[in-house]
Amino acid sequence: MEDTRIIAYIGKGGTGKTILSSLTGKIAIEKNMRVLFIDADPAMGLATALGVDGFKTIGKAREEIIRGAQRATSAKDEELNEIVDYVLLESLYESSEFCMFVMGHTDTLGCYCPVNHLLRWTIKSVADRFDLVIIDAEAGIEQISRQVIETVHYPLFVTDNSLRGAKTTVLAYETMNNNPAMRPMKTGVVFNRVEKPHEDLRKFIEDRRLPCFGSIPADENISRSDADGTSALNIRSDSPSLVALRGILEVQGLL
Amino acid sequence: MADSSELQRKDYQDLIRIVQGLIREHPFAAHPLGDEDACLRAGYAAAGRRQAYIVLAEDTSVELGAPRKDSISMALWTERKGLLEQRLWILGSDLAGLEGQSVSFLQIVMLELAEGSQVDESDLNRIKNLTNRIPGLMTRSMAGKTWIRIDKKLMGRGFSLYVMGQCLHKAYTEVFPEIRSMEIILMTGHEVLIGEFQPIFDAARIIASDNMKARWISEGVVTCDELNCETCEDKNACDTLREVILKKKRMG
Repeated sequence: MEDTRIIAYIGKGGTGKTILSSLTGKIAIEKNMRVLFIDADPAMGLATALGVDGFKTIGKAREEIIRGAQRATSAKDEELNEIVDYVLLESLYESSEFCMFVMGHTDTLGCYCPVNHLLRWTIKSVADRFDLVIIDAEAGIEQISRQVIETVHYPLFVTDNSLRGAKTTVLAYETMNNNPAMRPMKTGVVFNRVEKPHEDLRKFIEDRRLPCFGSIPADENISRSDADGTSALNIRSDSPSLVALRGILEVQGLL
Repeated sequence: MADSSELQRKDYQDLIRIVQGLIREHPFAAHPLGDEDACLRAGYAAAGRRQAYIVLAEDTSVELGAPRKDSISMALWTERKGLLEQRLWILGSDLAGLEGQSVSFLQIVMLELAEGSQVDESDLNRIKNLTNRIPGLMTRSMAGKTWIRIDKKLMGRGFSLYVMGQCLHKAYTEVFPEIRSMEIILMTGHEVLIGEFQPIFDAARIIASDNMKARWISEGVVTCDELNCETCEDKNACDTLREVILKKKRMG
């Protein structure tokens, strides 16, 4: 795809990045877009929310690549590339509705920056086949650009009505601005599980030139989906959270 | 130090004979090689820039040798004249009968090379990945497994095992003028029979490993006597040093 859009949800733990990632995917799938999810949370919460299992994580693939490189019959770059292409595609979860990479975590094997580089390059080459890439990021933007994908077009900061959430948001935003690799096309804040953002918090964020895109109300349908363990993609299309998020994404021109 | 006889590369002719014996025992269909029109109809083009071309599952018509299926893929060469018959051998359901399915896959390329050819074996193995030569065909290879996806558009152009074989022949002969004759074996399904090829593949890996060591010795990259990297404590250091030596040699 020439115009793949990459959205990443970033923010303090527990603010609802995973559910917003899921709901964004649902909205895009309803628009017949090809969607690639990337679960960049080591706890793999997005995979759980979407009911995905039986996958191979990128962390596991990374270990296989390193072992393959150590065993390689020659030191040719091409051989390593073939191994990367194979295990990365093996790690791509594919269903009739969407595809997904689960980053997971790596137990061993040190830094291996060249492997990270290869992985990032290969993830990008896969991502280019989709209309929309949605990244659920546990950590900040630095982790995304180092380990997942170099550039995110639309980093969306998720917060709640707490000062800690607002401070984390501002810190992540400033970190992003200091990263020369990141060239976002548009960025903003979404207040989640909030009827109306607290005015002081809103001002605190907007004073840092970070726009607030809107708020998503608490939603009984999501609570029920969490409790039942059903896929977040099965949440009713007229659910209040989904309606609000759809409005934000459309008004901001992100979908 | 190893003596000069150890520097000779080993030929795969014994394994080729075993493969030919297995072909005779089973109802493989034989076809001549060299059908250029079939390649053109498939959209065959000389390889361009290397790119990780992807066919996603939803665009896939047929999948061969996927990670959870049996898959064997190897290239065997010999300098023995007259051993190969310029044939494509096919067994199992053809692709049109496999639409929507993912099945096991066997792909063997056997080559007669001109005497004294110094073709790099890893290059020989790499050519069997046709990804960059046929639009709509995705191949991934690792550790002797080849995983292929054929997209719906390519199937719509009448792609088949016969066409795949012809394209393999074209790809090899384009890249390696040293090739005097070829046999290509393509098989879908038949998991039990694929299992019969496994010992041949295992033996080929041992020969490939010996040939690799011989090349390292001849290039002065390795000077140890034991050459048993599986048990050597210094393997990691050796690997690193080998990298450094190769880089220095490339830099002159």
